[in-house]
Amino acid sequence: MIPSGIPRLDSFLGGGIPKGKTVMYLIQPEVEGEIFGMQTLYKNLEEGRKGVFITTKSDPQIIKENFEEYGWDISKYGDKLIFVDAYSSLIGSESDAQYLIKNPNDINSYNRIINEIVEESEAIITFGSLSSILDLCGDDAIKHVEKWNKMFNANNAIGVYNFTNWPYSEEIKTKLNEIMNAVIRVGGIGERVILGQYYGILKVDWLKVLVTGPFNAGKSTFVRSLSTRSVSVDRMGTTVALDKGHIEYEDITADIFGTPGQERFDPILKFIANEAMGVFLIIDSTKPESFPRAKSMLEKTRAKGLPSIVVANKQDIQHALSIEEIREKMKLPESIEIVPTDAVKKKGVFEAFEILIKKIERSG
Amino acid sequence: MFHSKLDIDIPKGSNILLSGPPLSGTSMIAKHICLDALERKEAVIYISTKESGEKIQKWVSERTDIKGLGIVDCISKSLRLKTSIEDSNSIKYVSSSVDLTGVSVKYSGLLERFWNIEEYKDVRVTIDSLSTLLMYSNVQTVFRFLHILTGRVKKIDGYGIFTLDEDPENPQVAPIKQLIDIIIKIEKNKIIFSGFGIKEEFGFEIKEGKLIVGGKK
Repeated sequence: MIPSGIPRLDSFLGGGIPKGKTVMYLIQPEVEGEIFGMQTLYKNLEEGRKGVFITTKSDPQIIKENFEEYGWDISKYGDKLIFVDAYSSLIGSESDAQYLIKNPNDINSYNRIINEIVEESEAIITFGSLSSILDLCGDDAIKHVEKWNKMFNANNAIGVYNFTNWPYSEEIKTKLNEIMNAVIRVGGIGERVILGQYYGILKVDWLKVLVTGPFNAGKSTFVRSLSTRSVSVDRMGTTVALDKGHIEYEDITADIFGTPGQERFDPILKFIANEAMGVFLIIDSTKPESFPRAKSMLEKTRAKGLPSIVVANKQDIQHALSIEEIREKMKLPESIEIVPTDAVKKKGVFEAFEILIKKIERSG
Repeated sequence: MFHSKLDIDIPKGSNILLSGPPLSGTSMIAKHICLDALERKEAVIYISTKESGEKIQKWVSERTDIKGLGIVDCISKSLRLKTSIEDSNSIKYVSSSVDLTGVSVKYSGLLERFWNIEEYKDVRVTIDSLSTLLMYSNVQTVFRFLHILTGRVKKIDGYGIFTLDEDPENPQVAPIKQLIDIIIKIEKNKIIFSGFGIKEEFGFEIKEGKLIVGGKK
């Protein structure tokens, strides 16, 4: 994971940007948003990583001055920061940048150079303005951006794009959203005049959430209820391998992994917990005898510092224990939320998801 | 609109294209329209691609109070007209005329500033000139930029005034006309006004830096 450098954003992203992924800052016109891409680049230079800045709107010297205006001295990073100049040729002036795009109106001119720089070890490749590349090269440029993203992924590089959200066609907007791993909207507040700005997450595709719990607590049903698509490998009604689900709920997209409840599968649990950003512990509210096992599973995931909540399932059954009784029997502190659900009827499952996501965001 | 000069009322929220062949005086007329506004305590945001912000500020300050004047300077940085270029309260710099995102951010900042000052609720946003923007970016790109700007002018009930050093009938710039309510064409010694179903002609001359408008022709 590398940091985005934007206050609070990393916690929404589940800790930062994983290597090989792409992030697009979708910036409303009239709002000062290009600082987002610059900030992500600068933060990573500070942490000793390599960076590339592709400029289409002014020569590298002015970009350096822009960084300075924000109080960021990039001169000290010397060779760690490479400039790709896609501006000078446009106005017919000289350039001393390491890489010069000779024909900024031709997307192939970018392809050659991006092919070369992607081999720079795990660099943060920052596009000062992807919208102006589209303006210069036409809508077809998007297909190439898709290829670049695949190359970044294969080379563990990170692609950071600033994109000014001018009134482009819906087709372009949809395609862009599709080819980026995360999209962060930067917008303005105010009816007639823009008086402030905000950012929000439109898409993140790398959040992983773990669903665990004792045998027959209803984990697979929970994953299925929550998922827009899910796969389960069931044998005789109980899970021996993994449940995998995928949820798209409001701004959040997450992969959900269910683990089998039997103790012999604990290594799988450990394996998934290493990648997960949060944990649902599903318990059967009618079976207090399974609570010690549930508690020990919870302790294992909490030991990793993972945000966790308890989902008290099967609340529809008459002799189900109340939330207070469960808290008492499991000796759970108030800091661990217990959410009542009836996974079969999808009751409470989205509430549980929201609570966990909020907890993941707060933990970062 | 220019009550003191041309006796035509232009509704608030209008976007006006001021066009004429090169050297026909479109910039001079645009500046005089701004001067007129400043004298009536309206705010002016002047986006300049031709003259430096300092030069425009000086020209205005010789004629009236510049308190209501904000300038977005698109050339000083790229031509390196000064060694140290930093935004002041009234002059904001963008890296080049290609940087339309930068232009939108800077005029928006100036709008916010005037919005917060009670006496400036009426604002005129001027671009001098669209022709420069069209030299660096294609017409679709400039169209998208203007789409946002003309929309903003309507939202704030202001006026947008954009100069163009060529014939707006030219097919290469024609799409931009969709965003325009009124076209003012400058020809030799005539100003031809068309829009809102009206077409009027006025005589004019520029004498010792002053715009003198005659009666309807």
